[in-house]
Amino acid sequence: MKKILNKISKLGKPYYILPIITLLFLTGFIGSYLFPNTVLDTYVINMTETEGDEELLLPLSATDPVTYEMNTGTLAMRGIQVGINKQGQALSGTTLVYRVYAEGNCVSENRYAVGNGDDLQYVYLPFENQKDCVGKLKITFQLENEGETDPVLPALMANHTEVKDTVTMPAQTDTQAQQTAAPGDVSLKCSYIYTHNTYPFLYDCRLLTFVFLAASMAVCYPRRKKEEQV
Amino acid sequence: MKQKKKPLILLRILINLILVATAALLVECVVFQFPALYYKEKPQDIICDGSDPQIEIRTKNALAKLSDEEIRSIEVEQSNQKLLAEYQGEVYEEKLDENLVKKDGTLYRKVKKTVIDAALSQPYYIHKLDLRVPVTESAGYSVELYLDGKKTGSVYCSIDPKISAGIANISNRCDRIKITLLTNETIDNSKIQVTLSNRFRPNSMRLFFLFVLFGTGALLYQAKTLLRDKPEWIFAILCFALGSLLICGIGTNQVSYDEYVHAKAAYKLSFGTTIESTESAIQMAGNLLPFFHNPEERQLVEAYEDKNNDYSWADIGHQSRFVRSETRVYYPMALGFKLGRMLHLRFADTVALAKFGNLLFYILVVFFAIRLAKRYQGLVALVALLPNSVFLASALTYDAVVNSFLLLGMVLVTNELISPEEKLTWQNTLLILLSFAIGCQSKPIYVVMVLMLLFLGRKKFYNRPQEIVYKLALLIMAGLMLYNIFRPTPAAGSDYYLVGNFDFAGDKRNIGTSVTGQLQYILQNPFTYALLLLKSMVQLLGTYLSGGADFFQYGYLGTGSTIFTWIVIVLGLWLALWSAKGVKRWKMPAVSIVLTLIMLFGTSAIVWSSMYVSYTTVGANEIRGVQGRYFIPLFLPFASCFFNNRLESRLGELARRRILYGVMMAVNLFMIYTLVITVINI
Repeated sequence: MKKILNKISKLGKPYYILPIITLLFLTGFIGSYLFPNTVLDTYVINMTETEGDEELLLPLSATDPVTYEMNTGTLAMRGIQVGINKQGQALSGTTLVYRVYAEGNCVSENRYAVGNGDDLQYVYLPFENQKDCVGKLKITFQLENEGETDPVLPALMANHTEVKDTVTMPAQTDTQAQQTAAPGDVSLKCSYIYTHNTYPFLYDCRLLTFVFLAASMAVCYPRRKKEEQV
Repeated sequence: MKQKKKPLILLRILINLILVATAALLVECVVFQFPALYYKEKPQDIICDGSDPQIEIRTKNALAKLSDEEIRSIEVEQSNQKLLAEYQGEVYEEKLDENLVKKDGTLYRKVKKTVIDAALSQPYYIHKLDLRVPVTESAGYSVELYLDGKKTGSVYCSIDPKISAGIANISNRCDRIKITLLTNETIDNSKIQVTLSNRFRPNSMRLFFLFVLFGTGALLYQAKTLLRDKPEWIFAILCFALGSLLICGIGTNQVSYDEYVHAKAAYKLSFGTTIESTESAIQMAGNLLPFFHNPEERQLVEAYEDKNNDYSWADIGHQSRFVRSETRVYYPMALGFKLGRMLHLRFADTVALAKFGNLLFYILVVFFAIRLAKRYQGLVALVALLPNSVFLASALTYDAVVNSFLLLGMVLVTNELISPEEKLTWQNTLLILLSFAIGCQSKPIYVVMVLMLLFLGRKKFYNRPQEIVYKLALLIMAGLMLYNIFRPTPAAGSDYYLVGNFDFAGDKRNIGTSVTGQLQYILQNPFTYALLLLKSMVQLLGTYLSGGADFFQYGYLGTGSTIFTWIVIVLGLWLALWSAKGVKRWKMPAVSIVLTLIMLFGTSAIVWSSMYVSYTTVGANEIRGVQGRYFIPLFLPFASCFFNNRLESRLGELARRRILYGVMMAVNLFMIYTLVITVINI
């Protein structure tokens, strides 16, 4: 291993190379800190049924929305992942509209083409204006148009699991869900999507900065100067 | 001349290999297969459908007492459920499995007991008893053997529902056999298949063992030049042989410390951003793979693993494209997993390849550590060949990377300490710091060992400013690694906020742990804790001397005898105190000895304290989870305190190395034979 290092030193003088590498790692250290990598982070809220419970459907319609209320605390929410049941159909003409309300104001409105996802798939529905999607939120889901060519309507998947700080309200027209579940007894099956910053090279860059700084200090600079004078 | 010699050497090696292989085959066939050759009996089936009047079968309900391990597992599960409920703000309700019964304060499981009493037509030497029964839950059976009306032996064997079979090693002669089968469910007696056998079947693992045993003798006797001039090559050959024996012998049985956790991390790392987990891989990560106890069960287990290693119905997961720094230590194993997949190897072979990745990496790093050691190569080889070190290098664990790089780092630090007049070079500095940076990635606590460099004298540097900056950089580097324990760099994963919450941080394998709670306890009771710490350290030192410390352990397989511990301790002291005949060794300066001892005490105290904070119940009057193996990286610096230039052995370097390697191989091979070959490979 020492031989390899000696060969490397022959490629260029360690007097210059080691401080340059140190500076490069220092730059990397600062750069990693200033430009973090933002990643999506999934928080599973309600995805499985407890013993004895069974899945139920919250049909979507164009007239009345399915409403979901929850609290993100201090974290700004990036999106939500919900299960969509297409009852085996393609539903290529159906579009889902979902709006996010914070303190009564609509802070995000987005659309999702139901035909794009598979049947029973949990799809990621991203929000706009992430920084405003914080605290007590109300999310509504409804269809933009009840596709004339589509034979059935899609539905969101839910169950009876009690989830703290959340309220799921089926659409007003959903008589079946309202008959089978008392208010507050239905919970939307979902995961919350947040983001957070990671610093993938921070640990290495800050460590190697000091490793190479120490190695630079084991090189004799004054002697080098004397050698050059001779 | 050299060109002429080379073919001769190769011919000698080839002849030696043939002789060793022949000797191994002869011993296996003549000694170990003697009963099969002598009795020459054909396999015999015991019919359990009630048609044979010589066989009596009856079934009844019974209670089976739970083992301590099962009780503890239930308690830990209940504690974690309680903690989870508390975290979620719910009320915890204790639930007990309906198949469990509490009687006189002890837990029992409701079982069905089936007794098969078979009288054999004539005395039979049973080598193996193969019992197959379709069960959905774990079961087991005990066998009692009788000859002329007298009980001659009894054996217990477990049945894993995944292979629905339990094969017991009997190796006894009998004319009546009584099998008591315990199951959690009612079974159809006609589906029970029992076969007695005594076949001539040479054991491949024992053959391999004998080959290594005789091969070691031949190598130490014949390879004089290598032993004298290149001891690192001898280490590499012997360590590879020992590691191969362990890897092949243990197979997919998970017997190393928390092996399933490491297996999961290495398996995930072998993929990019999309992870494909087959059923077998999921079971490996959950410590759920069936365990085998002999070659016959091994065949069934490996067939089960292959059947469930189908990527067409693999579970798909995702991970960040950036690998966390502490996960990188799994790369040697991950490469093995990747290679196994690319070559479409069987599941067991892929796991073996992952272990070989670890072993080869360990050998490579230690190879350089031995080469770089200044006249104390023997001592480095001794530490690297300690049974626990070899075992960890041959298992799925990051300890191989930790131990090897810390050994390399400490060799380089010791080199600097014993040569106070020589100037520090940038190559050495870089090697030392990188060794510690890699070695401490997953166990940053050991980085305090590198602080020994802070005490290097002024003569090691060219000028004062360089010395100051050097030591400052060192201090910051070590500080940053320690800081990362308390404030880890954020990474992807929804458990981040929970992990970062010190109120809930603590090892969940134990009941009542809390980092914050324990730190508060220590701050409130500093003297009580100091006394506990000192007492625990002294107790562990005692177990080192009595052979109880697990630097001699082969994981959960067990440990070697106390006498071995003493032999190795004496051997280590001999190598540290006496130099070889005609070899002048460097002396460790007195100041360095004192500082090394302080560093050793400090590092040990930090290791103990970390386990008290993260692994022990808050306020407990014992420190749990500290294992003797945690101090293996400290062995070399401790031994270096005995370095002197006065004592000289009467033996030359060749004889010393023959003794060193001979003893370490004898210890390891004895342990492999008693713990690996006889327990799970016969």
